[in-house]
Amino acid sequence: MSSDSTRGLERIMVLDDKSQTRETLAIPIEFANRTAVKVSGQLGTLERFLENAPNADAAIADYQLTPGHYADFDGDELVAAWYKRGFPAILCTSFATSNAAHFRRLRRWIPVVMSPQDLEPDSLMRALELTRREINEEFVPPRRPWRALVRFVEFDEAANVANAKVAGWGEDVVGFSASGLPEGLRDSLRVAFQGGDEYRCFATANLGAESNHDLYVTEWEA
Amino acid sequence: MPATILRSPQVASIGKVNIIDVGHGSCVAVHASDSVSLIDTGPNGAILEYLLKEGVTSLDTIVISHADADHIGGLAAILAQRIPVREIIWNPDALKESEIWKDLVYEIEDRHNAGLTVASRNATQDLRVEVGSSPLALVVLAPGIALQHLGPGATDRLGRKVSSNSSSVVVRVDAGATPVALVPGDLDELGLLHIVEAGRDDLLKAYALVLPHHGGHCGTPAATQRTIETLVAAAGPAAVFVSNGREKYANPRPEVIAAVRRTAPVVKIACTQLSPTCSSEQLVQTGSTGAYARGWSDGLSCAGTMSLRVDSEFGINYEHGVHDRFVATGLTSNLC
Repeated sequence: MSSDSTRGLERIMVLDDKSQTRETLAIPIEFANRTAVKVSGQLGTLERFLENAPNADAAIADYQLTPGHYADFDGDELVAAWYKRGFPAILCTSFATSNAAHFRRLRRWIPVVMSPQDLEPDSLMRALELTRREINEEFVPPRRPWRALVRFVEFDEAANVANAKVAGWGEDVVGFSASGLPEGLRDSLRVAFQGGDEYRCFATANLGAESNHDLYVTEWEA
Repeated sequence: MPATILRSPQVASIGKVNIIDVGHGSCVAVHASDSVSLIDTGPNGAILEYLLKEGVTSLDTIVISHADADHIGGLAAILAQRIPVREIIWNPDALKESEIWKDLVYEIEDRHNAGLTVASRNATQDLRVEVGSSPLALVVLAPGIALQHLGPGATDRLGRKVSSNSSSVVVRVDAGATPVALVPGDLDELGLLHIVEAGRDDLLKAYALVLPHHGGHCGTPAATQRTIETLVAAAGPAAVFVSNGREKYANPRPEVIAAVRRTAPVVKIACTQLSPTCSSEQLVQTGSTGAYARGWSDGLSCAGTMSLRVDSEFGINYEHGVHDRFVATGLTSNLC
């Protein structure tokens, strides 16, 4: 039976380029007494899929969807696009921790990244409920957006590296893909670092993030 | 525990002093009916969640005890939100070579450009700052003239080496003439000796004492023992609080708590977060103490955010029933 807090999350889409993995991802859904809607075939472009996605209440997507032309987009783009459309989805991958700089550009719209090993009925449903609440602007403290001062300490476009510290979050260096930053910000960074200076600007970040790979930075005021 | 000052339940409250669970760090909020002030700001944005939950949209005074990130990190978060802050009281010289200082200057300039000025002044000995229009006040007891002007690495007139912690700003929260809480930052033995040698240790008396260094060492083990015993003896508190983070440094140190107990055998001791010494497992508590506590939902908190309520007759009430029940039923090796 569905608990009150997860009512309405009955049909859950499963997206992975491998059919066997879709079957595996469906297991915790079915153990949670929900219906797994396994999406097969070729999904095409992101826009096309968003218009033609199967009827469901939520979704779980793998990160790598492009192998075998399963899709023309990756799971992080899909989950973020769904968030903006008010549709709760979680990303299932173990890449996010070791590739935080890449995932950070979209983490504002990806509330939950779960590794396949952590995927269980309860954790899955809690994650979807958290995502649904956040879409309705009910943020848990580690996800709440705040205005934040960002101080870039390194910028190397050739290496696609931009490292910064986020004042008010912690002392760890926060990595970004330089190519993922807005063009205007990249221009300012180029000028600053060519002159031997650091660069500061404001942005929006979840200052309550408990780990480096969960920190998002967006809405650059630069 | 020694008497919570009892008074008629009809006596109105004039404010509260909250020792906030911000994880490893320190942040004390002093609430009056029309004003909120902070002593330190914790390590990060946890203070923002506290202010949000309390409905606080402006701050009167922020006192910064010293430049350690776990005391000043939250200031950057506060300033970035453009929350109105009337005044910052600090001794920033130790900061001025750091990137943190430049961050704060950038933020203060940003606020100025947005029409939000914030005054600042040095934390000089005997400075007294009222909290709004209430009888609550923040009183700066240290550093004295010498430590305020000697930088880290200098020596005092007796040849003792000064550290940045020696110059920690020590604040006592008063309700009228009643000393409610003593908040000594990360004061070390030398800083305390300067207070004692100046004959000012009687000023340290307070109902509650927040231990320096989050219940950790204040120098060598011997110096730590001397510092804690001297500080507890001088303060004579009914309650001793530790603002600690479970996931960092395993504070409070058992030997620190032992030093407290030797000096004040029946004092009430409580920590914001649950030390690994007291429990190897995180323990999620049901219900809530009311105020935001960073570690509560993840089972990191012990007492969580602790609150001293002050009434109009300057009686102090520290409700510790939730903590007492948690310790009695959930812990078998509690230091307190």
